[in-house]
Amino acid sequence: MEIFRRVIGYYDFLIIILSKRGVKVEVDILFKIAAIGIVISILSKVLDEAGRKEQAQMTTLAGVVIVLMMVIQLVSQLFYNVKTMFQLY
Amino acid sequence: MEIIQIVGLCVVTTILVVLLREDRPEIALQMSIVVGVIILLRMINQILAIVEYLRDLSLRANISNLYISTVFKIIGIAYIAEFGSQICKDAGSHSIASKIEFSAKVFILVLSFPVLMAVMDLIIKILP
Repeated sequence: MEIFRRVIGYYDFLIIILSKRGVKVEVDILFKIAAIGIVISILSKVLDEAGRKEQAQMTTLAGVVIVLMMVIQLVSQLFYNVKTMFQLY
Repeated sequence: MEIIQIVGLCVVTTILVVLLREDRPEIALQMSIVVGVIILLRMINQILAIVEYLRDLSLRANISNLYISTVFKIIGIAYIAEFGSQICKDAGSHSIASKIEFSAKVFILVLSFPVLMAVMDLIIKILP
């Protein structure tokens, strides 16, 4: 538990350093994606070692889909912004 | 000093991407997409200011709104196409990236034809 608390403390520190002006959500998403990637890679390695190849594959797929859901929202926001900025209709 | 924040964000993201690239190249790619989006969303205020200045300048120079809005549309198309093609190139599929660039060039050509026609009209009017 101690190590978890320490990791979360570092995480908060990083967020505070990187975002000064209420843009916490956007930077947050980046670290969320990195965390998902690390956790998924560890999980799939463990499942591979345990001889469950199919479930490891499924875990990889689920991770990609979860991250894609987050990314697509941001990308649509970007496209909307560019469209309104340059009057591309 | 927003540039310091952006550089810090990029350095941290690069470290994370390098960490993830060996095991999970797909998630590393998505992280690079997200950092591009975040940087643009942070630059939006400045870009809007530049667009307003250019509009004001064109209004003072009595340039028709058709031409200046064409220029803005071309800039927007070029930005979006560049964004997409860079992502495709990062993922290693250069052929899809060149297709994106091709379609962007076609769209830009279609948009710029009215300006070309106006130039032709002007030339015909000047010639005796």
